[in-house]
Amino acid sequence: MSARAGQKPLFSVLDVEKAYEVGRAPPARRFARGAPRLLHALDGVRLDVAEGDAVALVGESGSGKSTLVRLMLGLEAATEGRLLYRGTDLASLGVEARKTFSREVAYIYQDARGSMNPRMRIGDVLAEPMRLHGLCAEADVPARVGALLERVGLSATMRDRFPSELSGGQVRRVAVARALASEPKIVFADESVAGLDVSVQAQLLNLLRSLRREMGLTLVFITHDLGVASYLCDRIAVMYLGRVVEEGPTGDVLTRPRHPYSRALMDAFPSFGRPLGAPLRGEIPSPIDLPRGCRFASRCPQARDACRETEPVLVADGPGRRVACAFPLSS
Amino acid sequence: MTTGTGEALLRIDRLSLKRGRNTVLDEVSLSLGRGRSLGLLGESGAGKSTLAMAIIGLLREPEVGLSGSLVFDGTELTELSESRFQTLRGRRIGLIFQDAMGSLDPCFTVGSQICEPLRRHLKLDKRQALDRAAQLLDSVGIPDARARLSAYPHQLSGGMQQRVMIAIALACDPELLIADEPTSALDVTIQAQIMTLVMDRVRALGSSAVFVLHDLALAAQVCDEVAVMYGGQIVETGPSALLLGSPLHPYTQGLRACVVELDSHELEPLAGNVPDPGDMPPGCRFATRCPKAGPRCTQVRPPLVELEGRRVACWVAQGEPVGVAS
Repeated sequence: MSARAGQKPLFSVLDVEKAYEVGRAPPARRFARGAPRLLHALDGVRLDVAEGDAVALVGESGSGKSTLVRLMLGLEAATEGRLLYRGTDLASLGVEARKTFSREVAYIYQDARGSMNPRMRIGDVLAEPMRLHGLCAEADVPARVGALLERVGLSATMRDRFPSELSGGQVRRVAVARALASEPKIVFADESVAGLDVSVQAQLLNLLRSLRREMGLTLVFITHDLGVASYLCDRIAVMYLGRVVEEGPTGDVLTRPRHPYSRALMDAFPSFGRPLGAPLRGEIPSPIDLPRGCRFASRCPQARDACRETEPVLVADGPGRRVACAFPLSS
Repeated sequence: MTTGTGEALLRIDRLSLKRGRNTVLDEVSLSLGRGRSLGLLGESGAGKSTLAMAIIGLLREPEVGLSGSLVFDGTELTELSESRFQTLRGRRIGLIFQDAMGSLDPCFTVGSQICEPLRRHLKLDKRQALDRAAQLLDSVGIPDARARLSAYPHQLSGGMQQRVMIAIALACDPELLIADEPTSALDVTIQAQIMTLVMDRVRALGSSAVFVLHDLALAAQVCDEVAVMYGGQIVETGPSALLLGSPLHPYTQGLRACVVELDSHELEPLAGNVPDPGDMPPGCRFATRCPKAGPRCTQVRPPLVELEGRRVACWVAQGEPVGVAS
């Protein structure tokens, strides 16, 4: 996100690339090693997250959303480019700084149940970050665990249960509570409300919304559901095949999308009072052996010859908005 | 649903299903006309998938307790022998499951799995079956279909696997298609493609379809009629546009208010959870979570009655006083 005047971004992603080696091409001559074949999961991503922002990363599977978050969490190193947290490169964090980073940056995993040790009681799952970071005296831990459980709408007696004894919605709430246990500044959430009943999903969305308002949390939310993005986030970054193709304030982007891919995602979103339509043909192409020109050209209904020649860059497009399209939709 | 368009293809009359002591389906009555599509809606545990499984005869005595009747094109399904059922399943009734990867056999090529119903039901020889399989794959939008016949399921993306499932389900031009959450694991873009494809094919064949869905907006887009289920009962059923546009049952209203749309400002989630099947109140099963419920609701089960163009089971919607027990 283009940082607003006078506000220093909490997170800056500066032209980050991430390529994975997936085997090698056939060698040019016998017994030589072929050139490595690279899978470009991210390619030139630039993004700022200001304090207090709620940013949605949207796009189809394979667009690089989760890879970007893994990089921002410092779980993997970027192949090119830099990631700055409060102005410091993640690659050069010292031991102490890394500890602070891991306390201030929390992550809610996509598979909430799978992310909890099945042999630990919920109380211990939540106490672990507090003990690890020495946030309070041991005597105060039970009270804090109880408060945390109540904060996410669960009864404090839940502390004695095992993850397997909870329903899908309850496990997600515990996952949210655990992310909050270390008193983070920023929370990353990966599809945290996907695959739930609409009723449970709505409860969870309202919880996340109220947490954001009350605690001033910064939120980066991966989702493929544009409704969720618009409900929870004030900024949105639409990704396609390792690139951000459009970003800006959620309301603006969703009412006046400029990139044909954003438009297509909106048209595919099920909605009352609009007939079913399949706006996009085909699937997201392989990130190995990328075509020349715009990555979206092969599926774009508006693609022209020029699109297959030069790849458009993300350029400013009105206040707080950027778009990477040679022929953006008129707004 | 009573559609008035001739004789119903599928007529379910007071179907109840028990697992042990729990009543999982409770006197479900529905009918589906030829060429019509019906969406079963509701939260997990409402009995949607159980109903679908019962229709295709995968839940039968003595594994579960069944009562009531299920008539498909004049044939009573609850009394049909398994061997007779096998001549219906895959032939006149096609099935699509949610988990395509889990439904396809990992040890066999896609081609051999599409050929199986063709050879078994239509008695095609190997060459004819392969030709037809390639046509089918092509018709569900798989590029280079002939070559893909020799692919194994794991070599295909999730969307492609679901297309293969659709090709198998529609291989014998079934009169009824049952699809249990066919797209809930897929991206919205692929979901839109797959649903468009299924509906195009179903309409081209003049078949009927039953969809189990949890997405109300998607149901509004693809289904002529919907039936909202709660705790194994149908609480409201009728034309999808009418019912989802102006729901009468508090449960349907509650579900509707939970749906996030692009311009949602405030969601009002339904409180609480579906009670355990063994712990249902004697009256309206939704009464424990209903904002409008009175004493009568918890004690006396409301009947499903015609009201404003649909059928609804709710004392409040029917204008009955609920303040006193009757």
